[in-house]
Amino acid sequence: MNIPKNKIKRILTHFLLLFLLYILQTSVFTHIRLFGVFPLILPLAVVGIGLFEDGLNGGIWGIVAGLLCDISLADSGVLFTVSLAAIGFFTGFLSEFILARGFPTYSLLSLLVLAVLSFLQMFQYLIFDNVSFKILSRVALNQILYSALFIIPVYYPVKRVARKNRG
Amino acid sequence: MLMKDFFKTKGVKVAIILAAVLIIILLSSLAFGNGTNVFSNTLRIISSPFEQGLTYIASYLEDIYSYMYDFDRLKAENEELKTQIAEIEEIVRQSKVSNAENQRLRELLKLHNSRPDMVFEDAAIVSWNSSNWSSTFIINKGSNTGIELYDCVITETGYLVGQVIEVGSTTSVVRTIIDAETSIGAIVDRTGISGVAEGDFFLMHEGCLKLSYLPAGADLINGDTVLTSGKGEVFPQGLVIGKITSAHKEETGLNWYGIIEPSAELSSLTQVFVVTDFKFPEEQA
Repeated sequence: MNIPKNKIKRILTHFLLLFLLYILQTSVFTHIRLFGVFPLILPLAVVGIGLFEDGLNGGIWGIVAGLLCDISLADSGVLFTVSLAAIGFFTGFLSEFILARGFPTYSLLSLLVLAVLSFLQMFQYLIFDNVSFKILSRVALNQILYSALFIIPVYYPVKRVARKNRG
Repeated sequence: MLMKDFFKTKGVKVAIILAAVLIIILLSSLAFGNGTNVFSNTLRIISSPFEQGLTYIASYLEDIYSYMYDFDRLKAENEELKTQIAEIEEIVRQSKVSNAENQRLRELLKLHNSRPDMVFEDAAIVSWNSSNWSSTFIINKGSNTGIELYDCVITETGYLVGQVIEVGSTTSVVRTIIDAETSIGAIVDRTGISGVAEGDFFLMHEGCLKLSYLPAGADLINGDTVLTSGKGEVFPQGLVIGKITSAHKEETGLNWYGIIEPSAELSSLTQVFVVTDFKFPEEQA
C-alpha cells in the first residue's frame, strides 16, 4: 500500500494536536482549578476542525476527542463520544454551505457547544439525582467561563493545522 | 669612519681600555670579597625590572599552559562530580519516598493489628478525573489482584477514601466519599447516633459531605467523629469518615444534618489501600 507522504504528515499533525490538547485537558489543567472547576478544551478543537475542514474530518475528530473525554472524565458514559461526533460533523457540514469560516463564527459556535455540553452533563443530576438547578447551573456556568478562556489559544493552532491540510 | 678603520687605528687603545676595566672589576671583586662588585650590582639593579617582567611573563605563560593542560582533567572531574551529585540526590529522593512508604506501611501495620478482620491490597493513584460533576480517581490495581466491585478504599491510617465503582483487569475507578452519588451508613462516635453519610453536589465542590437523616434535636457538636456503621454490609464497621464541622436543619424542618469534613486528605493522596475482604460484626463475634 502506497500512502502519500502528505497524507501521513497530515494525520501526524492532527494526532499531535489532539494529543497535546488531551494532555493539557487531562494532566495540566486538572491541577489548575478556576472558579472551582476544570476546563473543557477538546470540544473547542472539534468545533475548529469541523469549521475549517469539513464534516468528515469534524466527525472523525469528534469521535476520537469524545472517546478521550469519556475515558478521562469517567462519569460521562458515551456522552462526549456521541455529542462531539455530532458536533464535529454538523459544524463541518454547515461550514461548507452556511457558516462563515472565521473567528467570530468559531467563538460563537464554541460558546454554544460549551453551553450544550454543560447542559447535557448537568442533565442527569437534574433529573435523576434531584440536585437543585441553581447549584448545577453555577457549576455549568463556571465550566463554560473557564473553558471559554481557551477559545483564542485553541483557535490559532487548529486553524493553522486545518488550513495547512486544506492547502 | 668605518668600524674596520676604527679598530685599525684605535684598536690598541680600545684593547688597553677594556683590559683596564676588566682588571678594575677583578680587583674590586677581590677587594669586597663577597662576590659582588659595583658593576655587577649596578647591572643587577638595571636588569632587575626586566628580569621580573620576564619572570612574570614566563609565569603567566606557564599558568596558561597548566590551565590548558588541566582543563580536560578538571572538566572530566567536574562531570564526574556532577554525576555523583545527581546520584546522591536520587538516593536522597528515593530515601524520602522510601521513608514515606515506610511510614505508610507502619501505619498500615498498626491498622492491620487493630483490624485483623480486614484484608488489604495496596494501590497507587494513577490519575484523578477531570470532571466537574463527580469525584473519582483511577488506581493501578484491578481484578487481577483480587479487587472487586464496591470494595472499599481507605488510607493507611484507616480513614475512608471511597469505593471501587469500576473494575478493569489492571485498573479500577474509585468514587470518593465526597462524590454526590456516595451513600454510607454512619454513626457519630461520641453519641452513637446513626445517620447516612452522603455526598452532596454543592458540598463536593467544597471537599465535604453531609451526615443526613439525623433525628430531631440530635446531639451533634463540631469535631464529632463520624464512623462507618457497617450497616448494609458494604463498608466495614468503624472506619473513620471524618469530623463534623457544622450542624444545620433540613429544609423540611424535621431533621438535622451535619457537614462532615473527610479525615482523609483527598487532594494529596498518592497511595490507597483497597479492603478486599473483611468480617461483619456478627462473624467477628
